[in-house]
Amino acid sequence: MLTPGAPVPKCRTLPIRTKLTFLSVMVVVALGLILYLSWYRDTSIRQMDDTRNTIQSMDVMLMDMQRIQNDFVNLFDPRYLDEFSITFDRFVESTEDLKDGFWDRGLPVDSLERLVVLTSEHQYLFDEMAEQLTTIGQDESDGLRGKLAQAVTAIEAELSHVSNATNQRHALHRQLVIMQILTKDLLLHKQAAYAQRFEGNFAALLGDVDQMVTEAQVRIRLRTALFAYRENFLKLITAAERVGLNYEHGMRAEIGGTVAEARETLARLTAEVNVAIGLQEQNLNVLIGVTAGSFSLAFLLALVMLGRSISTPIRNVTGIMTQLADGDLSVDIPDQPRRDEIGDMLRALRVFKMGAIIRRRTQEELRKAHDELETRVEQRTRALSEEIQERRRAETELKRAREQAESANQAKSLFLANMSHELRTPLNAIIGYSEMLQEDAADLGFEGMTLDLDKINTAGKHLLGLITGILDISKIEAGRFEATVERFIVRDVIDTVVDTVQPLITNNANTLEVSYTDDLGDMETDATRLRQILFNFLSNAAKFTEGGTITLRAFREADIAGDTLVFSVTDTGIGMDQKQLGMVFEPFTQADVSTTRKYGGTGLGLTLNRELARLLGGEVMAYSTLGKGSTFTVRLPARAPIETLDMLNQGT
Amino acid sequence: MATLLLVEDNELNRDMLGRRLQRMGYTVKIAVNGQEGIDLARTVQPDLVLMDINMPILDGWEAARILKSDVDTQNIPIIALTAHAMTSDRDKAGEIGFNDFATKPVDFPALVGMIEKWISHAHITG
Repeated sequence: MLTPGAPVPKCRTLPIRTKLTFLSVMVVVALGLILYLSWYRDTSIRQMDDTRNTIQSMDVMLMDMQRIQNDFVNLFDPRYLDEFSITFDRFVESTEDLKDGFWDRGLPVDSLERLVVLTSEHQYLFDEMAEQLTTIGQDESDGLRGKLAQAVTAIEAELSHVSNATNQRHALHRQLVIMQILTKDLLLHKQAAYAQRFEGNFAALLGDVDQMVTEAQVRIRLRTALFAYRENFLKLITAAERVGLNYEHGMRAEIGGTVAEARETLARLTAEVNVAIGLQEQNLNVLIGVTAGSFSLAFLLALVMLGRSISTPIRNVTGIMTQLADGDLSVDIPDQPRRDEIGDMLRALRVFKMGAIIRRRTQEELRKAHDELETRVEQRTRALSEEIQERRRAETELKRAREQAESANQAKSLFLANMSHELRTPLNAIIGYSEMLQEDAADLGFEGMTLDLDKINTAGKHLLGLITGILDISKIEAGRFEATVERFIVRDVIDTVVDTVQPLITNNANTLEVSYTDDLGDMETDATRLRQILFNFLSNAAKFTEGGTITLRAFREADIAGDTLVFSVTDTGIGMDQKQLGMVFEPFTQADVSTTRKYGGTGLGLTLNRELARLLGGEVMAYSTLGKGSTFTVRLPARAPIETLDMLNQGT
Repeated sequence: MATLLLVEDNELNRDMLGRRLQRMGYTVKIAVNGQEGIDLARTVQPDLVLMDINMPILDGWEAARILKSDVDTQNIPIIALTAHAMTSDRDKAGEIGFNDFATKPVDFPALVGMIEKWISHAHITG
């Protein structure tokens, strides 16, 4: 149980579990012992009862044997011999059984041995009696009785030779019958008195024979027969007396004595057995009692000891635990090398105490850290709130600035819109008057003036275009752009635009080719703006192409993304490089300044196209190869999206 | 030749347009604001009115509405002259009763075509 190498603890306390196991084993052993003893006692008692029964039955057997022998003597039937021997054998058997039992259980065997001796005596006597009785004979054909009968026959035969002149023969015969009766009586009653009477009778008969029988030969033969009879009769008497004429005499008395003693012995045996049984039972009871008592005592003692060995240390441990629970970490936990559960508890408590000490220290450190943290958080919070306030201030300023900027932008757009309007009025006059003067000059034939007036007119119109473009862009920027969404047939718009733009195309000796698919159908958007977009693209293409071909293509593109109409304008003009292409939709970025001078135009058309396309939910794209030409494409949804409409409506 | 009433507040435009129309052979009566335009229209009963929109005292919208609501003048065709190129203006003009719409700067030949169309139309219907 000890760990090898560990120092042997001073106090060798067994674990509580082991103690309880010991106690349980003790209880089980005690119970087993008591049960065994009880069983042994009951078995003994049962065996003793058996012994008593055997003794009683042996007594009955003895009485039986006596009855058999009496019957045998009286009736002289040989079957009684068998009966006797059977009973006798049984008796002997029982004796042997008893002996075995007595030896086994240490009972006194003196009486039993005496009984055995008596039994063999009894047998011997009975055997001899049987022999005597055989000598006597069963009836008149057997033994002494047979010889007596032969004698009687011989006597009777001789008597027939006796003359009956004076009734002598009858008298002799009578005396013979008397002798026979006496014999029978003797056999029947077995009384010695009959022997004396027989002697008297015989003497009288012998005297009569000598007196009455005259013939000498007959007399001699008769006397011989008579003496033979007497001899046998005397033998009979001897045998009968040997057997015992009654219970007080002879073998019968001897047997009776043996039987009586045997019965006495049996009675003594019974008494002895009873005493022995009582003693044994008492002893066993005492043993059981003592065992149970001692075990109970030992159990109680062990229980009390166990209780003390558990409860006292547990009380101590509880005390320690209570102190620990109250937070008293100074409590002393005994460092006893107990090896039981209490020892485990103490060890656990030591660990707990150490943990608690560490925990307390950690808690204090934590609290300290927490306080520090709180202070820092407070400082930081203060700093942060200042920062937030500053940011809020900055935000407010920013918002104000943005609002100012927005309103400034709106003001700018509004200003531009108004300005454009104001500019248009004098321009109207300039264009109008120059046209009027051209007419006048033409009427009056002032050819030289016509050219100059034409320049004024063209410059005015250019300025007007610029103003109109600026007006549109600034309106879009100011969110005041207005559009009218209506349903129209796309092909009609294309036709109108083609008609309008035709003069510009022919100016530079270009050819316009128009191709569209049959499924163009109608659109629901701002027709004027679509017209404007197409016009801008076409006029732009016409401007930068000379003697080339300008192609307007249109088709419908309906897929999951939506129902879209695509218009593209391709020219075979001067084209653009990548850099120019990248800026083509920005305002006032014609390829270069010289371009403007050469080709004219406001430089706002493409920008306006991009803005208009966006407003109508679409987009513009440009592809170009320098020197070969460009393609401008606008994609517009067949139905202007609702957000656009909303924005447009907001603008009005 | 037909008589036209030109209602226009801007002197240059009024002068330029008036003279060009007179050269075309029209009799041109001039009004400088909406109110004057209404008064003149009632007295002169012109064949057609050219009405500027942005005017002091009474603007073109109001003047046109009044003319179109008056039994004496409601049959005179009115053409709006405006710097506003907005389609909403065009729609508004249609609602009020303007018969046509011309954007400034005026494409003169187109305006003359428009005038001729409405005068002959009025003669046929009237």
